[in-house]
Amino acid sequence: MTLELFHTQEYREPQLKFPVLAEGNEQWLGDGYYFWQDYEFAKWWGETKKCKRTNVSRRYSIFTATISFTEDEFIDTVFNEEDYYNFVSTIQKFASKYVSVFKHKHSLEEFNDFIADKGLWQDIKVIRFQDIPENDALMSVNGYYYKKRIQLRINAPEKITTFALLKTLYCV
Amino acid sequence: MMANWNKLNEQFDSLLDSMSQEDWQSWAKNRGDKKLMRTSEMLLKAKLQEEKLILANSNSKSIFSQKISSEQSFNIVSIIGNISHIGSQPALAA
Repeated sequence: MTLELFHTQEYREPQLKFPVLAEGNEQWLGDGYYFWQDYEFAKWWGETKKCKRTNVSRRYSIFTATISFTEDEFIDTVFNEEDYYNFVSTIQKFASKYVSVFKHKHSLEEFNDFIADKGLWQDIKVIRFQDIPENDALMSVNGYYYKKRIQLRINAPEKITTFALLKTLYCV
Repeated sequence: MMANWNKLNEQFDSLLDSMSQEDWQSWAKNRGDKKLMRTSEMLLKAKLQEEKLILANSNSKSIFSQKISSEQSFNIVSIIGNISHIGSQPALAA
C-alpha cells in the first residue's frame, strides 16, 4: 500500500531532506513522523501553527511524502470500522487498568509509552487518525465539521520512501 | 487485510492480566529512559533512510542526466545530419 501525504514545517535553510520527528507529550500517537492526508489541512497548519512571531522567515514549507507499507502494518481508525473499535477498546482497557493501579487517569503520553515500551504493536508502523476538527475557515458551514482533519503517524522511518519540497509559502 | 487484531488484542490482554503492582511501578519509573532510547533509535533509522533517499534521488538524477545527454547526442547527430542535408541544398530565398 502506498499513500501520498503532506508535511508542514517552518521554512528553513538548508531545505529539509527528511520530515521532522515529532516528540513529546502532545503527540496523539506518540513520537513519530506526522503527516496530513489532505493538502488544505497541511496549508492550514502552516498558516496557523508555523507562522508565529518566532518564525522570522515569515515563510513555511509544505513537503510531499510517499509512505509504503503492508496492510497488516496499518491501523486505520478513520475509515476502517474494525480498526476504530479495537483501537478504542484498547485505550479503554488500558485506562481502566491504569486507574485501578495508580488511582488517577493516565496521560496521553503514558498510553503511547506503554504500547511502545512493551513492544505491543511491533507490527504496526502506520496509524491513521482524526485530529481535533476545529477548522471553521475550511468548512463551508460554520460549526459543522463535516471534513475530517486526518493525520497519519509513522514510527518506522524506512516506510517513508519519498520526501520532497512541494512549495514554500509566505505567512499571511 | 488490515491490522491483526486477534494477535494485538491477545498480546495486550495477556500482558495487562500478568502485570503486578510492582511491574506497573517499575514501568512508570523506567518510562523516561526507555523513551530516550527509543527516540535515539528512531533518529538513527531516520538518518539512514534520509541518506538512502538522497542517494536514490541523486542516482535517479544521474540516470536522468545520462538519458538527457544520450538524447542530446542523438539530437546533435540529427541536427548535424539536418544541417549537412540543408547545406547540400540551394539556399532558400529570404
